[in-house]
Amino acid sequence: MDVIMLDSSESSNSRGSRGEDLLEDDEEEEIKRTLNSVMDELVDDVVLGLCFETHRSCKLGTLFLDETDIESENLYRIVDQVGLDVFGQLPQKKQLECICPNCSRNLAASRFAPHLEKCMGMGRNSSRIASRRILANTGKQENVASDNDSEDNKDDNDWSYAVDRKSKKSRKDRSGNSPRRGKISKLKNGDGAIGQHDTKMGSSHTTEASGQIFHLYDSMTLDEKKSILIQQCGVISEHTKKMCTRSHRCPQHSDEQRRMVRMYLLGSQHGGLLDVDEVQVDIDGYEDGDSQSLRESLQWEAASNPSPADSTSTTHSTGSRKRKKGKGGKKKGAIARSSPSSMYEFNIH
Amino acid sequence: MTHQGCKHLREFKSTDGTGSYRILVSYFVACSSTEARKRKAKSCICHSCRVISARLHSCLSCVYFGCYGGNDHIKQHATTKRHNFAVDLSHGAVFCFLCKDYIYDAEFDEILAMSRKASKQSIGLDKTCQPWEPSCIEKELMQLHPKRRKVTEYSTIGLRGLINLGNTCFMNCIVQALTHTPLLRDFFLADKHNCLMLNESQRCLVCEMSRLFQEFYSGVRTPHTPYRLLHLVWTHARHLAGYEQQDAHEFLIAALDVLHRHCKGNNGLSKSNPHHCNCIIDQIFTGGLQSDVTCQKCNNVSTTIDPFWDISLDLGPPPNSLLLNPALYGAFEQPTSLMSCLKRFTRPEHLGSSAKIKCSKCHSYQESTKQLTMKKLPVVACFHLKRFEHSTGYHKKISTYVEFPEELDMTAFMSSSRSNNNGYSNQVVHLTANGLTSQHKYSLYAVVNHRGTADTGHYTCFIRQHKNQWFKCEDHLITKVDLKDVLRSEGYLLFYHKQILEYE
Repeated sequence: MDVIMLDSSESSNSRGSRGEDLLEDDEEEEIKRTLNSVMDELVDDVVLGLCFETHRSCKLGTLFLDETDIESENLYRIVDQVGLDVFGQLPQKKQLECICPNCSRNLAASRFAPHLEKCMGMGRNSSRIASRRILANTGKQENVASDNDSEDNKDDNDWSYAVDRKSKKSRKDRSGNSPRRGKISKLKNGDGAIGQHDTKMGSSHTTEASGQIFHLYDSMTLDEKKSILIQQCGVISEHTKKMCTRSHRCPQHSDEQRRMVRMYLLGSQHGGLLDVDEVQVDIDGYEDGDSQSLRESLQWEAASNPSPADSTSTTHSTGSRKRKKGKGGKKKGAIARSSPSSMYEFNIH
Repeated sequence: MTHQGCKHLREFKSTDGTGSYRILVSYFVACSSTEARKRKAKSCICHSCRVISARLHSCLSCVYFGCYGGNDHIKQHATTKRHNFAVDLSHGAVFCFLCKDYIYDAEFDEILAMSRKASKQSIGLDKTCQPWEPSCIEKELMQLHPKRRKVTEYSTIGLRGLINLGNTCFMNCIVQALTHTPLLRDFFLADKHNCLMLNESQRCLVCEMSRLFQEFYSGVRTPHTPYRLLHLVWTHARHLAGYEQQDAHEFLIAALDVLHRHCKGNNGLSKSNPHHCNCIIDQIFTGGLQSDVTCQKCNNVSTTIDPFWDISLDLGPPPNSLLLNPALYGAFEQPTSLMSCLKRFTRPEHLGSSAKIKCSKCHSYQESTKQLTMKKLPVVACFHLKRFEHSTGYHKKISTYVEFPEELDMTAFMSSSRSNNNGYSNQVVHLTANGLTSQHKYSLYAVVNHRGTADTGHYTCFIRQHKNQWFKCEDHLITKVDLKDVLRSEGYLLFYHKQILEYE
């Protein structure tokens, strides 16, 4: 820049000295001419600079280095067609998954926001749930006392299958036969505390429920079950209803538990139905870290997981679409969610 | 291995060294001192024909300046004296008369770059931008791998859908608008963010934005899941947290605020002066709003300037009681265009008899008028059309069509256009006179739309990419649209980018 400034001052000086000799009328003309020549010089200089730049990159072989190749040009070409997005894809139906940064669990992306709300313990709903819980607790203390520990899980309806089961139950009146009904269950083993206290449910549901957990595995062939059970411990967690993926010598479960599971899963095929109370289901054996490997080994199971947040829509595939249309309406949402939230009361009995 | 000039130059360097080139460059190509500049002004002249402007070259072996082209004195000098190298005195390039071409040598280039830097510093241009040049290895790698991702007229690079995480369309829209803000994009793609959150870059929203830009320009065509962004926003802006519909405008402001805070990190620099910050968010989005309160009795004006990130514009019919003089200022009924909204925003407003302000001059409480004008225009002007009315007991959405232009001139709303007494009325003339070559011109680059009611609805977004291509972003779905579709849309948030950027 300084070069240019000096060039101009110099040239105007030299012309200026000549300009003094001229008549005053011509002075303006002279100034114009001088300015023009300065301008020309500046433009020439800039153009020359560009020439040098190009010449240089040409000589060094970098001139066309950043040119797009035809292959990627075609790959990224914009598509402008009805029914397709710009990438030429049909509007996405596939469910994407993400890992919650808060609790490191894997979940469907479209359910992330409702999950995170619960997971971080915030939002209007969580306080509503909390106050409802307090209210219910004070009212029916004697009923809940035995089962206080699992309360937290139940309110997190992203994770607790209990809520799901109950949502199904509560909606049973309206929608008689839910297609997913048979697949979801909350296991209560051993103590039967719920069964005794829960007059609405009756003790029959306990048997029904623990029976249902094995329905999950019914869709597998005997060979599939065998191959899984040969490889791993296989004791089914009460909390997640998933099989333990550790080795046969895993310290969490006893040999007795492993034997029971095998007897039930493999034996039931031959008609020998065990008394459900004898089936050992582990409560604490499940750890978060296992979820990934489990998910991978038991894909079919993940697919059959019901989605509590999508309770208004019927299936997974249409879930995202429905939401878009009826779109997160506060009003709609409130109605939709009123059914699960009423179940919390239900839950507490 | 770096680039070397021709074999003749290598021979020359081994016998004569680089000293003469160094002197030539520092005195005549890129002068770093006043003395050098004087010397250059006096002696840059062809030694044979006394011409000053004909691509002067200097001989590298002896003191001789000659013109190139035309009389070709430098060439004559080279052939007669057998001095084979000449330096171009305006750009420092070296010409080899044996190769008959300009040659480029790494060592000489370095000398030239050093001199240029010193020269710029000597006249106060500290920030020098060096264009990137691939090293030899990089060059080879690039030749081996010809695949490129480039934003061209026909490419989808830079476009990506965003998964709705459950009522998060408000966030997706703002993310689309932000990622297509030209200056912000340049900042992040140039990797200019240096995280100041010590050991906590996982919690830094600016770092997340940086990753987001990488995702957008990665060439991946499946939608991106912005779950980490949502988590970060929820942790840093608790009032937005929760699974429910949010206002996109509220989210924008909150996001800018968090970004702005994270830019500073633990740096104490901006703490001393909270109103002046040079973080990228402030550089792009912050403008200055001047508020002039005029005392009705003594005409004393008290002025304050406040920073702003967005301009919220009223759409409803104005409360008539507050109009200073309906006859003079025209019947500002419901505004039908962005221009009329802005006129309404910047017109003098009578504060009324119930809101008397103590005048600093006549020391008494007086009725006064207030006028808002733009003191400093931001690079990105974000207009928020107040379509949602939230009064006690009812929520209403104003769905009137508000016309907005593709190009917007803000000259009329500048503080400098404000005439002291009459407020707005004179400015129209100013507008037409200056309209064509205005420094204050903006162009539209993103529009956020809302459909539905005040309680429930869905946000979509139009964004501009690569000159004048427009796309509609609806969560994961991106489709191509025409400009006229954009201009016909309702409009909730309008993003304008300044056309001419000034040097700081």
